[in-house]
Order: sequence, then C-alpha cells, then structure tokens
Amino acid sequence: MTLMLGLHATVAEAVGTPAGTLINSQAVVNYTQTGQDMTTVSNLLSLPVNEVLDFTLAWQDAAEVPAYAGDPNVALTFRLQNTGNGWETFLLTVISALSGDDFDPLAPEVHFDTNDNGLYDPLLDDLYTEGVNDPELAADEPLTVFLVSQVPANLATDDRGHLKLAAGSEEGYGVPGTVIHGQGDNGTDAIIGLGGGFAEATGTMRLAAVQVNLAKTAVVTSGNGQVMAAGTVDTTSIITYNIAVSVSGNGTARDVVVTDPIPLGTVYQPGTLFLNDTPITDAADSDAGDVFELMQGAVTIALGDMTADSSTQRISFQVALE
Amino acid sequence: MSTGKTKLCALMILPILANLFGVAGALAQSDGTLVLQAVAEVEIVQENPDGTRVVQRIPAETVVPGDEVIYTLVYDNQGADPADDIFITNPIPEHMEFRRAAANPAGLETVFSVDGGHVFGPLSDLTVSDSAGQTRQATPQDCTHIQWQFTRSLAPGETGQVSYTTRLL
Repeated sequence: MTLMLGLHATVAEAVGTPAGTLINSQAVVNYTQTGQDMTTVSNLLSLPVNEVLDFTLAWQDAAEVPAYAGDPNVALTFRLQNTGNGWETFLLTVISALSGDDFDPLAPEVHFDTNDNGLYDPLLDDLYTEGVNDPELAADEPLTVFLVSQVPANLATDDRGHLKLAAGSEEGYGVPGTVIHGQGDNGTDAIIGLGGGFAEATGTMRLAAVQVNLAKTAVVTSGNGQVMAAGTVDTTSIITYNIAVSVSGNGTARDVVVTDPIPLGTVYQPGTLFLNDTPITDAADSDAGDVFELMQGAVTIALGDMTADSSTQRISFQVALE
Repeated sequence: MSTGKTKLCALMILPILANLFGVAGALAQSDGTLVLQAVAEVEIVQENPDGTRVVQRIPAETVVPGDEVIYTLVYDNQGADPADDIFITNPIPEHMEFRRAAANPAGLETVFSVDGGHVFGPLSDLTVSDSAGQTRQATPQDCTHIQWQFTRSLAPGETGQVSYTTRLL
C-alpha cells in the first residue's frame, strides 16, 4: 500500500506543463515622483513551452511467467507510460531472437489491455498492427501491453524464453536534447528527452514442471430423469458428478490417482462409476477403480502415468440424496 | 531604514495591482520617468576543447518542464527628478516555481507573497495552510509574488537591476 502511494507521488511529479502553454511574466514598479504616485509596467515576456518526448517501458510480471511446452497462448505484461508533456504516438516492435535464453517464443503478437483489467483476455484485447492502431497517449498516460506468443514443443522444465518489446516515438528519436522543429503539440518544437525517444524492455517465460488439473462439475436430475434448474434438488434427485483430469506443464505425472469422497447426506448409486464412458466395477479388482474399498467413503480411480499430451480422462458417478 | 514606509507601500499595492490586472496596459502610460525593462534568460553550459566548462546566459526563447529561467528587471530613472518610495513587484509566472533571488544592489530589500499579492514580507515570516488546515512555514515553492522595496531614492539617470530564478513545472 505504501509502495502504491509512493508510486502515485512520482507519477504526479512527472506531469509537466503542457506543450504549447505560454509562460507570461510582467513586472510593475510603483513609486512617487515630485509628490505624485506613479506606476509603470515592464514589457511582457512570453515564453512558449515546447514538447518533451519522453516515456518509460517496463516488464510488469512479478516473476518469470510459467508456461508449458506447446502452450498456445502465453502473455507477458508490459507497461508503457508517456512521461513527456504532450500527446505522443508510439511504434511498437517485438523481438524474439534474443541471446541468453533456451528457446524463441513463436508467433509473438502485441495486444493492448483494451478492457483495462491488467489481464490478457484473448477475445477482448485488441491486436496491434503497426501503422494501423499505433497507440496514442496523453501526457502521463499509461498503457498496458501484452506480448502473446506460443511455446515450442519438446522443451525441458525450467527452459526460458525471452521476448523484447521496443517502443519508439513516432515524432522521432535520437540524442537527448535534439530539437525536431514543428513536431510538438500546438505547433511547438519537440525536444527529445533523456530517454532518447526510444525504450525497450525484456520479459521472460519459463517452462513449468508438470501439473495435474482437476475440474469437477455436477448435473442434478429429478426422479423422472429431467435435468433440474441450477441450485434446486428434491427427494428424488440424482446428482451426476463429472471429473475431468488433465496434465499441463512439462514432464510426466507418475501414477495419478484420483480419490473423491462421497458428499455427506448423499448415497453412492451402485454401478454408476465410469471412466471415459466405460463402466468400472465398484469392487477393488483388475480395473482402474473402486468405490469404498481402497479408501473408505470415497471413489478411487487410478489413471497411471500422464503427460500434457495425454487425453483428458473423464470420471463420472452418481449419488442420491439421503 | 523605515519600517513605517514599508508598511505604507504594502498597503498601497492592493488597489494599484487590482487596476493593473483589470485594465491591462491602460496604466502602462505613465507620466513618471522610471522605466522597467524585463529580460528572460537561460544558462547553458559550454565545454571547451580543453575540458573546462563555461556557463553562459542566453535569451530564453522557449522552455520545457524542468528548465530554469532567470528573470532580470532593469530599472532606469530617465527623468530629471528623483524617484522615491519605489517598489517593483513581479508575480511568479503561472506554471513556474520560485527558486532563488540574486543578491540585491545596496538599499533594496526583497520580500515575498504567498497569498496572491495580498501580504508581503520576508519568507521566514510567512506561513501557508495545507489542505488539512495545518499551518506551516512558507517555502520558495509557495511564493506567488516577489517584490523589491527600495529604502532609498533613485537619482535622475541612475539605473540598476534585480534578478530571480524560476523553474518550469
């Protein structure tokens, strides 16, 4: 919290007098001469404020972004901020062929955080195309940008991939202090700031170790087989639980076993355990699962070794209300 | 030095400034003979081939945030009569903050206002209220006006200058 407040203070100070403002000064002298009060004003001095081109660009993710081999959609988050005193249009470029990493992320794209929630939303956050929708920022305005790319297959855990975002001012870049005549707001000159009208930042993704994902859903039907409205049950209700098991990340999850306790107040319906639409007997025997035998009060399914390439395993069973 | 005279001057400035800003320029025509010329300059640092640095003042034509601008006011009594009870007032330009005043010629004192030109005094005598209603010592950044009060007459033909530095926000 304290950090945020400090940040805002810095941002506030970054706001400079807007380009095109006239700084006027005029002095007055009062005096007496031969007994009379006199007043004289000076000439008016009027200095136009030129535009300074300056901005910052930084990688925003708190740590290396986890990814897995073949991941189609990894987003690295960057923040571009206009720290000059006028409107600025930016040209953005992504560079994936960088030294110091293990792989080059594929097909990198730049997306804007169009709905401004700080998270990459594939359906909502607009794709950037140079020369078509170059971002234009007011003095001090920030913009969150995502670099979205694909991860190659056949990578090892902890392999790293870098992506660099480069941003340049459309009005020009070069040695700080260089004057670009007539390119500032309101007809003023633009002056290249300390950043040289150019900035770049590099972000990193890292292959995560294997991870098992469980997704459980429930469908409630009444005694006559009709699906009931969400949140409703009656004494005839049957609840069908579906568990989808998948693996992401890199490597192999050994001997995956899923156990799921039957909820209190419900009764397991014998003979309703299925794995990928194939019946599994309730007894602990040669098939993949059992009910109440290996673990008391629970359904147990052994799925064996799984990798990210394994198809999703679908477990289902039914319970009735007590 | 006359404290009484200083107070009188501070009181007089109120209606005069009000008139000045109400009808800009109308009072520029004066029958008096004291002329006031304002100059704005910036300092640039030039490095010589031998590595020595020379600070040079050049006329200010444009500014960017962070620039320091030096305002100099040259006063010149062009008439045959001495001028008395002189005070020169310069509002700190909008978007500028006061940084420092140059040393004065003998017989001049610098005072400031932090309330838009109503009360003038040494900066150490002035206070401001923050948004929470707390009173604190005024700082150079609080200055709205700078004023030079003469404790002596300006003889016919006599000239001099005062100067102060501001920074563009």
